[in-house]
Amino acid sequence: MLEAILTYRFMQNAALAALLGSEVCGIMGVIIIEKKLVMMSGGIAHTSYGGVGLGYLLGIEPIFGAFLFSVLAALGIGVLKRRDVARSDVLISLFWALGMACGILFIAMMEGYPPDISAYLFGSILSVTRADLLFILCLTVAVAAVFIALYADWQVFLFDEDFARTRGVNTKRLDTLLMVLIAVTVVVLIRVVGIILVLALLTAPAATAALFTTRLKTRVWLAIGVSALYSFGGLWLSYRLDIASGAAIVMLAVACYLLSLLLVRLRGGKPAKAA
Amino acid sequence: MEGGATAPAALRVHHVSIHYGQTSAIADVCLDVRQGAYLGLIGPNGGGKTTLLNGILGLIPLTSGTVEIFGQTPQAARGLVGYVPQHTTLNRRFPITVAEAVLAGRIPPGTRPFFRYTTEDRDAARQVIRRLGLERLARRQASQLSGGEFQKMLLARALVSQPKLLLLDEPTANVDAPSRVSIFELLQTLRQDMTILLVSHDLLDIVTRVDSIACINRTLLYQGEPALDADRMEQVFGSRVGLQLPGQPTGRPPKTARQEGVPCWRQF
Repeated sequence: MLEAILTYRFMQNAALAALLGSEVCGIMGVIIIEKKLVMMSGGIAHTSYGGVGLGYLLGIEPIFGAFLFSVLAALGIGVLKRRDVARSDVLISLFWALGMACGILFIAMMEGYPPDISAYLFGSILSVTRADLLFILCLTVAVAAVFIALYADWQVFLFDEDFARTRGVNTKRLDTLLMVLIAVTVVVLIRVVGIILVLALLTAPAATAALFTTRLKTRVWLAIGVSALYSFGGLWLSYRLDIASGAAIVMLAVACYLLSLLLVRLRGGKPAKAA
Repeated sequence: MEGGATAPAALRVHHVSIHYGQTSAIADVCLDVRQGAYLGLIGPNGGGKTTLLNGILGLIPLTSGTVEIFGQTPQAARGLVGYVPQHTTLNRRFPITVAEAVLAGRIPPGTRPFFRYTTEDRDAARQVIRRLGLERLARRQASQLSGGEFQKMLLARALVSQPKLLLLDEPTANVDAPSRVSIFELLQTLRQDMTILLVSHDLLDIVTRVDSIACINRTLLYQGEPALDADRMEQVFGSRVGLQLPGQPTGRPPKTARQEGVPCWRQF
């Protein structure tokens, strides 16, 4: 596969996308698991399908439409949840279904043959273009910068939100920022594993890392490494076995996580429940 | 430092009502806590103790009324207040060391990009860790602590900002007996330097340790000496529970109460 990466532009793009995707997975996966926002992330990911459909309908890059829908969904769910309008699981499921319905509707409204949207549903890392890559790079840098810049605030916010509020930390702003970061992460990962499989890559690396370390910074670094391992491993499997790359990455991630869990159990360890 | 009747007010809760939607949690609560006081806030589950505490802290909006802390709004007086939350409200499994958690008590208000704790912050954290006897646990993960150790860590986090008013919400819930004694001994030493408001469902903790009590069940029912007769207990808790001192005829007091030789309570 190394030879292919050195030879073919599309393989170079895929490798870079995998690397950038791993970075956001490592950072955001840990936060999402600690903040118990896995289902929220799933809801935001699926809502982005509406944006993909809108992108096709308007003739713009579907990934930009996905970005718009993801951010709007993240902000919408966040605001409604904070105002206690309805239970968060109800809101998530409604946004989830609404986004998918919008996507189906927009694509049905197109004239002529419908486009092949499987690349967005199940990922197609091998078809990542230079433009996609540049967009993904910008989003990845933004996620990393926000995480690093506000590290002290994130630490207090994730451990004890009420205490953070009593200290005057702007938890509302952090909460909104977190929602937007989840939306951004989803968009980055759509091209790697697709809307439907995004949850696995968001959770498996961070959960695997949680089995082996109890320090936040180490966990993030380890999750980035593990995610890169899963992405490149899946890419290699996809290359060797000629199977869909997104599915290969996710299957490898889930298998490795389960194996790690088993190993930790067999060694008599007590994995953290977060993992 | 005693909270005498002439001491200026540390905390003034003035006709405070808090509603959750259409449901009233507390109504028209008035409470004055003098500087140097050690006050126990008691009441039944769902009686509004934690709601009142959250209102005092500015965590939830007041439907009506005002709260003053040293003459200022809760937001303005933030630096003067230390808060020990119920252990159930935080992420107990979060990957953070004791030293990091205590240091977090020095986080500044707002959101400050690239904020780093100063040497002064770290020295303050080290001092309070030493004061509470947590040195050997400083590098340990918070998730690996026992209930008592965890509460001490939360207490250290509250104290690291050198508050003048310390608010504790059920600090001895899910804590074993030796740790409970240790925590109350700590509070006893702390009261020399600050005003303490302690929320607890444990009547023994309240009546034997604090200077005064406030009973709340949707509204303030009593504030004064830590002595509760059966009638008042019925008024607060809705059942005839009374307090008796050792030497007085009792029913069958709890084993812990007999062992510690402290006032005990019994169900009539």
